[in-house]
Amino acid sequence: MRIYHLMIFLLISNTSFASVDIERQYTKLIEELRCMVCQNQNLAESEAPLAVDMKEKIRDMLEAGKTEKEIKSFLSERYSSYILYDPPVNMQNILLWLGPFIFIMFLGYFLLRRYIK
Amino acid sequence: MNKITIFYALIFISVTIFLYKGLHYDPKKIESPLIGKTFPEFKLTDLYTKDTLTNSNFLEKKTIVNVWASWCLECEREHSYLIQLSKNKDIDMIGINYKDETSEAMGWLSMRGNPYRIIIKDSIGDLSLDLGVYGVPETYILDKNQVIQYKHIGPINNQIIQEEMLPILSE
Repeated sequence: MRIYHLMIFLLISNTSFASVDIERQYTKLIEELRCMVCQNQNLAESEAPLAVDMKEKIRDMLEAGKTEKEIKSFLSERYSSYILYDPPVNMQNILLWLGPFIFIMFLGYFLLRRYIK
Repeated sequence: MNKITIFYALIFISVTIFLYKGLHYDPKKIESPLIGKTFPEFKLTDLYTKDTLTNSNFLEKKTIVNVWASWCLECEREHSYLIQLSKNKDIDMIGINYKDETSEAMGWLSMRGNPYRIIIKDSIGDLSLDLGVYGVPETYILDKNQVIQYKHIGPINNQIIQEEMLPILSE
């Protein structure tokens, strides 16, 4: 019975946050960050040792009052922007961001020309 | 052949080339954003002596930093190359023992030889997280001012040493 109590205690203590707000930020963040070991999962889904470490680090940083932006830049400075599921637009990926729009514009142009003819 | 056919053919060819290149691209190899930055600050203990180690324990010469663990199978594969590199007296070699049991790490090295001058014991993986480590083994080259010049993820081999590491080490 004592062990049972201890297990419940551990379970609760492990998931308790300083405030509901921090918990909400935490849950949001780990869904937006990639697990570097299992690259098609986010941190929330992953139980890989590195993902567990990262989640712990994120929780510590949130509790130390760091903002979401600070945490994201902390991680992407170390693991590159690849860790972000929503990477910032930069010179390297500008084509990926604009590509679909360029494609649609081309398509529209051709269809319009055919239609006018 | 009219213009439209040529246009579609061009699209087809460029997409094919794009996708074909993607076949040979390893998504695990991500350029480290830490290249050109200084090695992160740390304060940890030595695996053997238990002395406190900080950035001041680095020597003022080219340094290879290798992240390894006794549980890591790939580390075994690259170990003989590290021993070989450690014979070069112009290079300092520092190990980071990543999330390991001290006794097992020591046993592992006594069986295979110790190429490192000092070994930083990173039992919780804090320094490694700061370094952006995600696939042990990892190998870094620092210049004499502790600026990171090179990073390799996974085991090193003769080809990597000859083609990638030696040119940086002999700069």
